[in-house]
Amino acid sequence: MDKAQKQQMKDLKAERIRLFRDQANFKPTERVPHFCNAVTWKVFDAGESLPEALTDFKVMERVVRHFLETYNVDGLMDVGIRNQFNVTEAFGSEGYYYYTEEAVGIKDHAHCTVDTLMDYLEDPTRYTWEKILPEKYGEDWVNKDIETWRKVFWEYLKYTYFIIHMGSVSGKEFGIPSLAPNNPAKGAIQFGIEEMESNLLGIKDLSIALRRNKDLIRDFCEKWDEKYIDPLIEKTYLSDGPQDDKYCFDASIILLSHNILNPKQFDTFLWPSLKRLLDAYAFKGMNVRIFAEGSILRYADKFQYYPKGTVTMHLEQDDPFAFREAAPNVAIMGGLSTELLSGGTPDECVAHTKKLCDELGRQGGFILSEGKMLSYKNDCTSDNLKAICDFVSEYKL
Amino acid sequence: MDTKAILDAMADLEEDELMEMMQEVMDNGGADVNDALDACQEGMKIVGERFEEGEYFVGDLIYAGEILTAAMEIVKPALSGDGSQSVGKMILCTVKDDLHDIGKNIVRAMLEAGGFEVIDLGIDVPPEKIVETAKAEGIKIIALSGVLTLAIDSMKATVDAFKAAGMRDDVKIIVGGAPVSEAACATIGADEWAYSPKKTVTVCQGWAAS
Repeated sequence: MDKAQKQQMKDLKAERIRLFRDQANFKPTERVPHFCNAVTWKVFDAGESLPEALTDFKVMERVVRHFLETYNVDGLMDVGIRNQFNVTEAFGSEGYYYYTEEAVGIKDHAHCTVDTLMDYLEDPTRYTWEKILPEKYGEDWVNKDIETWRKVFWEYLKYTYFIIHMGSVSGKEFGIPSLAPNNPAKGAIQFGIEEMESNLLGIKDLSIALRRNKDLIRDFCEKWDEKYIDPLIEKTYLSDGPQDDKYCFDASIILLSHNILNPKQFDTFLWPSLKRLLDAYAFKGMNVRIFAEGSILRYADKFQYYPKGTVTMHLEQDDPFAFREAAPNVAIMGGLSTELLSGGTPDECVAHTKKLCDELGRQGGFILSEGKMLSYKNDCTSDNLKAICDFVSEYKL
Repeated sequence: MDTKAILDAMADLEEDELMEMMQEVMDNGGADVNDALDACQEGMKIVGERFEEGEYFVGDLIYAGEILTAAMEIVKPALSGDGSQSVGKMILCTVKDDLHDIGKNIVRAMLEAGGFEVIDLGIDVPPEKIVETAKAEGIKIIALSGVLTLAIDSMKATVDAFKAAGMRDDVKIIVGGAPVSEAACATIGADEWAYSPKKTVTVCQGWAAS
């Protein structure tokens, strides 16, 4: 790339960040931006092998380049750095994941029982060392020979380099901005109830514990907040506020547990923590994107009380028009269902995208995206995605 | 025995009370076991209704399934074992290439509460296994679950496998799960599709009665 091309991509990236930020802040823009939620679907679309793409960085880089050269998107959720298994495999174990030519997934597992939850919270590093890693890699995992450890660290370094490299490829060569900064307090923003559902207990055991061990779950959530959420809230209040020129959003949160919690449980175990954090973002005029797996429509009113520009809800399965009606102050990300992307025609996709832009984006407050992550080969057709990208990049509001 | 109290305990998800009352049934010789189970089934119906109304959510259904199973375990020794409570036998599974089982397990609990004897073939089940089991057990109702879009292909392959085996007209097939819709149901060639456990139970009960 020559100097002029580099500057062109830099300008494009800045322009895209502005588009995302303005829509999130309900400021009318000349067009609606598209943050594409494509993950492993890219591999099938590029005609590459899934097992190779997940274990060979060169293959995955080809996949990402193919995608960005083919589809004119403004943002991309995954630039190839998810689902890379070299580090784990260097340890001589397949861990909890599996992959075939068709699919990649995680085998059901939980790191704790209700009896050991507090042990984990007391000292997560120790618990991981003594309980989680032996379960994952076998009891003698610490006794692996020096060659194995060397290989593991080497793979880890290569993976770290790959993350930086792909950030650079997507940003400098394609003008793709980053979604949001990492949470300075702890990698990703995670609430206690979410951690229990996703990693520590799993859906079934948490569902049962919410009834049988209510006090313990409440206690865990409170202590989790003290350890992880309170410092984040403090840092947010002390921060300089929005980072307009660096990221599309100031923070990103993924919510899953609202899918199993009844309204009373939502109010007890999730909302108090989430609300305190959102209050801090609102106070600082910062914008947070929340990816709500499944459906969060029944809790839409909770988010309505924040001023415009605070919350952008990325809807996985909810109808965006119904959500706008329920929470007009909340910007919406999404609108493209798997059903449409996989089963519709290009014309139907364009007509639906036009409706979304006209009805949700004209006054600001809408970012086009796929609801569910595009993961499997049937999640979308290439013709449909191309038609959507071509339309939305040209359609003036 | 207070059947209303059993029904309420099941509906309100009061585990300790329910277990205590089921134990009482056993302590009294187990003669009332069928009435107690009927009360549990009625209670599960209310659980389903509360789910539809938004009072209960997925976690509550999982818990309801758990305590229903525990209640049935307590009174099992008093059951005659002749299947007199059963409205029919059916197959339930998550189809090939899909490992999700939360939804399937909820549906299983609701179907059992609805009087079905459910043969749960588990997850990632290939079409041949479903056809073989239906043939061997003489099953007429098949419920297929899936969460991934890949499941649509596997559900269609299962329907096609029944056709290839010359059994399609002998069985009724219902499909359910996140990617399933009316259009997907038509593509798959299933007889019905469901968006909720309650609908699955209602449809299957209708088939069993016909």
